[in-house]
Amino acid sequence: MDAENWDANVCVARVRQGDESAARALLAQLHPLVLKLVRAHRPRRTDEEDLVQIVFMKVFTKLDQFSGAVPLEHWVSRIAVNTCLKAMRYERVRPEIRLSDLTEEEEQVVQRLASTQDDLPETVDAMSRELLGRLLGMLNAEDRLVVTLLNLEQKTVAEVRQVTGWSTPLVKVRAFRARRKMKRLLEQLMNERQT
Amino acid sequence: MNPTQQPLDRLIKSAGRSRQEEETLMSFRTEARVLAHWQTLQSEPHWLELVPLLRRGLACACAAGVLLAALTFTQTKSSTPDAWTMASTVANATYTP
Repeated sequence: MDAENWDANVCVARVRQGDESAARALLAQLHPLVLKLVRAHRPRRTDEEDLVQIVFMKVFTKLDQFSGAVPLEHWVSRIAVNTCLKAMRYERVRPEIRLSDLTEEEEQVVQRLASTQDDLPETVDAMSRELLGRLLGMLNAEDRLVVTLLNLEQKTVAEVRQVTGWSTPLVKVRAFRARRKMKRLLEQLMNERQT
Repeated sequence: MNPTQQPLDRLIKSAGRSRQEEETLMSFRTEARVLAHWQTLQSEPHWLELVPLLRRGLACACAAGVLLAALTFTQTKSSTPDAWTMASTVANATYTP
């Protein structure tokens, strides 16, 4: 079964019947999606590959519950996101962040943010991601997830609802609170640098 | 450039541009473990699928039992006092010397 002729429902039916080649095809087809989600939402101290493995084990365990009412990719996304959310809950939220916790490059990003109102140059994008990761690490699991989905992955509220199962007001309230906390943390860092 | 953008927005924008596009092939180890797990699931007896059904049946039976007990209690309470009096009289007449 090659990627072009991929039919999720047919493949799932074959996997249910015990067809190993279909199981391999399912893994190959869904791996990029699961990997992308795990990379976006995994806790900093959790191994990417371990989380991918857990997600796929859950997918196969629950495969009998897949009704075909929603696309397989959506169903798998939900499992992957919930697995990451669970892993994030185990990671202790740090109580505070100090400028001295940052690397030199991350500190430079803070400096640029404080000293200019221009967009950051592309050369510091990777460092920005690291710094953002630190700020996200200060949030609880749900807040981290909502910021990543809405702001980093540019998903709509409806898409976030679909993948998390939360209501629209809940998504909006969580996003608002999470951003407010991140703003406060970043301002703290910027003020610390100036003093 | 957008001078009204908050520092957080500028940070998110910059972080969003940085994409991790590395190898996307699944490692042999992960594939083998997932497939082994799937094969274990395949070999599990199918009667295990009945467990949730049995659990639901048990819950329904318990609920029906409670409902019946409540119904019996209500009926007993609402029965006429004469029936009790009669029964008591008969009992007294029968067993009291």
